[in-house]
Amino acid sequence: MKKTVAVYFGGRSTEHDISIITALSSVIKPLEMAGQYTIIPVYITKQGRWISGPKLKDISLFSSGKIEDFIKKAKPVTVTFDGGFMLNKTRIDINFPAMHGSFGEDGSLMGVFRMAGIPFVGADMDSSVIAMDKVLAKQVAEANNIPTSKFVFLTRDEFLADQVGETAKVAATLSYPLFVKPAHLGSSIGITRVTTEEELHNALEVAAYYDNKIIVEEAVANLIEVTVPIIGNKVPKPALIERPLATADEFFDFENKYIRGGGKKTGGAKQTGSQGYSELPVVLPEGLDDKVLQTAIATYKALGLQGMGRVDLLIDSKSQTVYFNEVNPLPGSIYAHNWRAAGVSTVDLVNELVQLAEQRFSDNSQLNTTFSSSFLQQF
Amino acid sequence: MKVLVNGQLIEYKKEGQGNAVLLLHGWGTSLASFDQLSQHLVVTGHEVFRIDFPGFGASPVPNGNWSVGEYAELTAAFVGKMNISKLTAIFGHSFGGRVIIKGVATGLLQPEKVILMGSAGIKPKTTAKMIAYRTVAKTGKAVTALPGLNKMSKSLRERLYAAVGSSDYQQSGAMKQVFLNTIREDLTQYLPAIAAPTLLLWGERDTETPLADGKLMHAKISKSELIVLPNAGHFVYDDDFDGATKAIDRFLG
Repeated sequence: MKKTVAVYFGGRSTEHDISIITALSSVIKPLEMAGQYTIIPVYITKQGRWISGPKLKDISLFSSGKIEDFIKKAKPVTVTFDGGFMLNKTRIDINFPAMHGSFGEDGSLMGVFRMAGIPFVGADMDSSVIAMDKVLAKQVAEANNIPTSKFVFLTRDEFLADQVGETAKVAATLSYPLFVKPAHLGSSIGITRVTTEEELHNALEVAAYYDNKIIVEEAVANLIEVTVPIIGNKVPKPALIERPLATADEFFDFENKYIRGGGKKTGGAKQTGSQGYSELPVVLPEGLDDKVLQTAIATYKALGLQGMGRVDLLIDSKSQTVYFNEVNPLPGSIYAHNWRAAGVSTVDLVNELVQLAEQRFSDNSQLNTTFSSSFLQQF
Repeated sequence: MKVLVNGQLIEYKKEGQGNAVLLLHGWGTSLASFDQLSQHLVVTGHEVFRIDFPGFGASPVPNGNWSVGEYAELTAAFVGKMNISKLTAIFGHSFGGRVIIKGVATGLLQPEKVILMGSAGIKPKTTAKMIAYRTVAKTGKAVTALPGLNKMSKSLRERLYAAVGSSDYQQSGAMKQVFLNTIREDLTQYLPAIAAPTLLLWGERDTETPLADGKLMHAKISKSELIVLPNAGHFVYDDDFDGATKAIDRFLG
């Protein structure tokens, strides 16, 4: 009998549109091709309304703009917690979140699924919370002796209360060039590279526009930026080391990742589409491959990631130091292109992710979360 | 790169070194429409600033019911934010030209020189032919809303609207009200107040902002010169890049 998998996408996030592509192209389609599942698409609008229906599996509904009419006519989904999880009147066996960013990848959705008591794909709630906070993730990495570039952080309120003072404080603590980032956003949204105090101030304003927490990091010299997709629960399994190729903007921003068609190819296999251009696999100086994979796996474990994730690392090619940069519990399009290059088809990848979800759920089910007591009898 | 200007998030690009120039794009395009021109200006020794106007490119839609005046205020605030003490020249194509006309005439923008390329700003006179076209377009909208005609309605409507020069309106989405505010405003009265030397660069084949608009601007702006490129249309700086840059280089000295 086919298992019923609900796939969640869209959401109240700056990465709403990217999530649609991830869900439709890299999750729903391969799950259908696997032939073992009945798929229920659940689209969460930018206003937070949950709707469902088979038409939501068709990208043309979104690309044509007809989704707006569809939303108006669609009835919101009814969710039932009955010791399991039902959508409308359909029992769901496994939930597959394909929502990037706020309310999806940040642990919010995982919290709902934990409460419902249903297996779900990808990182659990606690590791998602840590992973989606760039400050927390770096602090956890540091506590586990994983190198990170020097950083400071401040809240939006602190910055707005004394913009000049806070800017000066950051400038006095760190050395240029710096990267200013909203702490909770992905896809390089709101990230600015700065080299002067004036640019720093403007960049802090932009980051504060997006987020209530801002991180400022020193740039790594002699930089090679790499990323490693990983799947697994207890035994993390890496795919290939990939190097995003920056353009004149000097770093891999949202436009490069998702909008621009490409740039100059400087070596390796050319990857187009949602991931822009990259070198896959990257050719690194001797000995660095192992160091990169070790750091990626150590970070994955330290942050408690399960299911899947992508660890972004910065290499100082001169000192051969590998720094942890960021981690992404739900990489765009689940980084299927990298897994394909590593010999894992997208159908096999989603199958394995579903199995990992069931395995974790089974493991967690053996934990006692309640106990009998005579506490109430005294009242 | 983004910057916050008057509470509005703006995508911008800053390239090169030298005299500061600012490029303002047309309706429905973005700063990317100046890629080639910008490269030329960088090579000829300029610090080139480009922005995506709110509602275009990577800049979010404006936080209010904007018209040309708000865009001019935002542009002036951007110049201040970038600490551009001396703006050597400001370039505007089409809608960007509208913003410059209003901004310079009201003193918000104070460039040394102005370059208007296929600039909008002159409100076309309503002719009997236009009224007829508009009627057709309105009727067309009603007709194409009928059951059975829905599937072809978009392309049909587009053709009808294109016939009355409203393809921008058709495609303006969330910016429809801003578009209407924009085209309703005739900026002819502001032209005499532009005192800076002004280059009017026009494509003879321009059908969006016809050459007659360029001639009227030439008559109203005292220190203006009109250069007409015979083989160019509305995107004069791309249609005849060599001709346009030759005129620009000479004008900027």
